[in-house]
Amino acid sequence: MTNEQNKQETIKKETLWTKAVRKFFRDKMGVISFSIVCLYALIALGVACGFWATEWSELNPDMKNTGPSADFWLGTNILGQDIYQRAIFSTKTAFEVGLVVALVATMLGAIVGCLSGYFSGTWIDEFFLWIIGCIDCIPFYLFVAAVGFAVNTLAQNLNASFGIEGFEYFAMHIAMIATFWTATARLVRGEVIKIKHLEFVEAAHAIGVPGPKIIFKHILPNTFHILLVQATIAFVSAIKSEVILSYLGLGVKNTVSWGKMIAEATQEVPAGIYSNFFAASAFLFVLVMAFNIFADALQDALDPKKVS
Amino acid sequence: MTTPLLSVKDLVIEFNTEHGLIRAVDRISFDIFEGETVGLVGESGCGKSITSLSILGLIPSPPGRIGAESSIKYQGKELVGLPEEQLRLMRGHDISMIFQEPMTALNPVFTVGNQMMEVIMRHKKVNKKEALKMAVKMLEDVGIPAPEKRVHNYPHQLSGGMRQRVMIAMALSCNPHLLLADEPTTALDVTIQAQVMDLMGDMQKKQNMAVILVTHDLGVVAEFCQRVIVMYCGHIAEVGTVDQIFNRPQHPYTKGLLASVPRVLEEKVEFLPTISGTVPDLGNLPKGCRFADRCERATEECNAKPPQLTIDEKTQAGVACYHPYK
Amino acid sequence: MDTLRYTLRKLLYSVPLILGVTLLSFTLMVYFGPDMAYEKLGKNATEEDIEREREKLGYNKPFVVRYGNFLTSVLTFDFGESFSTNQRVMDMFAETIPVSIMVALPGFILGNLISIIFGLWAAYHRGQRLDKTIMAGAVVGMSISFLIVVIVFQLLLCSDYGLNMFPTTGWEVGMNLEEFNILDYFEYVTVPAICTIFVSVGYNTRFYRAVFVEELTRDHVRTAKAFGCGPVRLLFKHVLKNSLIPILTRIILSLPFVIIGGSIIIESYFGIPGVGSVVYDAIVNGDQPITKAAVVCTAILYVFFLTLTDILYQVVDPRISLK
Repeated sequence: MTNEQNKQETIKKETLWTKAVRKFFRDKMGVISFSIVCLYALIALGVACGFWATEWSELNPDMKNTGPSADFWLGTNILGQDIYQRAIFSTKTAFEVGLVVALVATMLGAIVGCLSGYFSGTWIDEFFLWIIGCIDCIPFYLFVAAVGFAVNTLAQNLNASFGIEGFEYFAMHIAMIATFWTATARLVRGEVIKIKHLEFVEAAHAIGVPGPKIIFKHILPNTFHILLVQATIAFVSAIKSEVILSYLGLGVKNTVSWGKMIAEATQEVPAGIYSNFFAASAFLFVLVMAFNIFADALQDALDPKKVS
Repeated sequence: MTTPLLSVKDLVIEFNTEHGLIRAVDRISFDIFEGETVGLVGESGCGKSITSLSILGLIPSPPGRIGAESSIKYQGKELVGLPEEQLRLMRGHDISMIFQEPMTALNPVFTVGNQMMEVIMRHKKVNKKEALKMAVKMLEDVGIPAPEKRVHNYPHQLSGGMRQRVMIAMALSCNPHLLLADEPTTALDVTIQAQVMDLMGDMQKKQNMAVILVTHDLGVVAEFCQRVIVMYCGHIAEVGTVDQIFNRPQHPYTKGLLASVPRVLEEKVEFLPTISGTVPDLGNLPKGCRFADRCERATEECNAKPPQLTIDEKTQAGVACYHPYK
Repeated sequence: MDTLRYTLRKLLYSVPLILGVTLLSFTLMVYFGPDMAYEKLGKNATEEDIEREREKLGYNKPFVVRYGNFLTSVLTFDFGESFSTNQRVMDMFAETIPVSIMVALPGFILGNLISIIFGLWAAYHRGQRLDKTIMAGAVVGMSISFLIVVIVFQLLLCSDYGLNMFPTTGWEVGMNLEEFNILDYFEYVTVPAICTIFVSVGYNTRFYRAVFVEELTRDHVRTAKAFGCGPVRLLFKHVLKNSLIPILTRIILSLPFVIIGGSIIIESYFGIPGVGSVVYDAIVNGDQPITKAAVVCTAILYVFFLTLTDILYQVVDPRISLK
C-alpha cells in the first residue's frame, strides 16, 4: 500500500508548474525565443546601468545623415546622432514601457477580475463589468489620447500644487494600462467563477475562512498561469502600441524609443534615408517576434486545455 | 466456412502523446460474418471504441495512426492504406456508424432532414425531392411519429431517444452491410434503451446487415449479440458465442467482468465482487500478460510472455490465457 | 414584432453603457482636459478675457451641470465646431466617413476572407506541416508594426525606389455617382487595402483557426466524416456555419472602429481625406470637439452593433431563441 501511496505522490508532485517548465524546455522555438528576450533584457539592463549607449543624445553637427561607418555603425540621423546607440538605448525604453504596463495592467486586471468573479451575480460584479464594457467600446488610440490629455493636465496641477515634476512622462504608460487591464480582468473573472465552485474553495468557506482571504490566498494563486500569459501579451502590445503612439505624437517624452525613430523615419524614408528606419524596425521586429513565440510557448506549456 | 464480411488482422493503433508513443490497440485480430451481431466489450479505455473508429479510417491523425502491418479487409478489400476518397465512398454506404452521444453527434445548426439528405444524396444518385422522400420514409421506419414534420426539426427540438432514432435512420439510409454501434444506448434513459435496441434488432433483420456493438453493458450484449469479443487493455482476452462467454467464461478477466455485474434474479449477495487492482498504464505495460497483475491464476509464465489468442476456425472461439478456466 | 420588442429591450440595456462612455470621455477630455480658454484665445489674451471665456465655456459650473450639458450635446449630435478648421464637427464627419468606408472596406473584407480560408485550412491540417507554416507566417505578420508595413508598402509600390505603380498619396476619386470611376478607385485603394490585409491577416488567422480547431473536435464533425463527408463540404458546410457566432461577433464589433477612426495610420500616411485623417489631426493638434465626437460616435455605433450581433445570433443558430 505504501508503494501505491508513493506512486500517487510522485504523480501529484508533477504540479502544473513543474509540468509547465518541463514542457516549455522541450519546446525548441520557445527556448530560443526566450533566450533572445533575455539577451534584449541584458542589453536594456546594461543601458540602465550606464554600461553602453551613453552617447545616444550627443550631437555631431558635421556628421548629419551619414551612412554606416567605423565610428557610427549604423550611421547618423538628421541631427548627427549615432543611430546604433539610439537603437540600443531604445531597448531600455521598450523594456521600461513594456514592464511597467504589463505589470500594472495585469495586477489591476487580476484584482478586478478576482473581485468581479468572486462576487459574480452581485452589484459589485455588474459595476466592474460596466466599467470594462465602457472602456472596451472606446477606440484604443482615442482613449489613449484622452487619457494622455487628462494626465498632462493632472501633471501640470501636480507640478503647480505640489511641485511634483515629470508626471507627464507616464501619460502614455497610464493610458496603456487603462486599456490593457480589461482583457486580463475578463479572463480572470471567468476563471474565478469556475474555481469558486471547486471543492477546496467551498471547503474554505465551510471552515469559516474570511472572504478576502479566500480570494487572495486561495483563488488568485490559481489564476497565476493566466496572469503570466496575459502579462507577456500586454508587454508585446505595449511596445507595439508605443510605435503608433509615437507617430501620433503621444509617445514617450524626453527620451528615444524605436517608435520615435520610426516616426522620424516616416519623414526620411520618402527621401531615401533608411538608417533610422532599418535600425529601429529590425530591433523592434526581432524582440516582438521573439516575445510572441515565447508567449505562445508559455501558453502551450501552462494551459493543459489549450488546443494547438 | 464462408469468407468473413470484415476481417481484422494484427490491428495496431498507436498514439503520439507527450509521454511518448502509446499503443492503444496491440495486434488484435477478429472476423465478422454477414448478418451477425457481435458485441465488443471491455472497460473504458480498453481500445474498443478506437477499434471501431479505425475500421472506418476515422482515427484522428495526428496524433493517432494505424500500424503498418495491420490489415482490415472488408469483403476482401483492404481498407488500411486505401485512399481517403475511396474510403469516403464507403462510409455511410457500405459501413455505417452510430455514436454514443445523440445530443452532440448531430450537427445542431442543420435540420435532421438536411443532414439525412446530405448522406443520401452523396451515396445515391437522387435529386433533392427524392432524397427528402427517402429521409421521411426512413424516419417512419425507425418509428418517429409525424416524420414529414420531424424532418424539418433541428436536433435540439427532439428528445434524446428520438435523436438516436434519427441517427439510426441516417446510418441505415443507404442500406449498409455493416453497422458499427459505439455505445448506442449508454447516454439514454433505461426505458428508451430497450426501445432503441429493439429497433436496431428489427432493422438489422430487415436489412440483413452485420452489427458490431461496442459497449460495456453486458446485459445488452447478452440480449442482442450472437458472439462476443472481450477486450482488455488493447488486447483481445477472449472470443466466443454469447452462450460460451456468459455461461462458460474461460479467461479470468471475463469471469471477473461477469461476476461484477449485479443480477436481479439471483439470490441476494452480500457484496458485489470486483476485480482487485487497476488497469495497467498504456505507457508502461507489463512484459507478459496484461491481466497478470490482477489475476489470481497468474504464474511466472504469465509474467514472462503474453499469451497468444488462437481462434478456432470452426467455432470462432478462443482465449488468450495460459491457465483458462475449463 | 418579437424581434422588434427584443431589439428595443436590448437597446434599453445599452443605455448604461452609453452613459458610462460619455461620463468617461467627459471626465477625461473635458473635466480633466486642457483649459480651452487658453487654447482658444491664444497667448496674448488678458486675464479678464480668459475669465470671460471660461465663464462662457461653463468652467465655473459644477460637475453635474457640465456633464448634463455634455450629454445634451451627445443626444443632439451637436459637438460644436473644430478648433482648427471652424467647421461643424458633424459636417466634417459626414463628409469624410464615406471616404473612410471606401478605403477600409476592401481590405477589411478581403483580410477577413483570406484569414477565414487560412484558418480553415490550417485547422483541418492541425499539427501538420501546413498548419505549422501558416501559423509561423501569422506570428511573423503579427510581429511587424503597422507603421512599418505602411512605410514599406508605400516604398515598394508607390515610389521610384520600388515599382512606382500607384500614387504615393492622395485620394482623387469622385465621391458621387457621376464622378465615380472604378479605375481611379482601384488606383488609390489598392495599396491601403494591401497594408490592411497584411496587418490583419496574422491576428485574424490565429483567431479563426482557434475557433475552427475547437469546432473540428466536436462530435458532429466526426459524424459527418463517418458518413463520408469530404473535406471541402465538411469545412464550408459543417464547420463554418457552426463557427459563425464568434466570427460574426469579431467582424461586426470591429466595424465601428473601421467606420469611425477608420484606419488613422493609413489615412494620415497616405494623405487620404477620410475621418481617420481628421481624427489624426485632432489628436496631434489637441482638437477636442473632434476627438470627443469620435469617441462618443464610435461608442454609440459599437453599442448599436452589439445589439445587432445579439439579433443575428438567432438567425445563425437555431438553438438561440428570443428571450
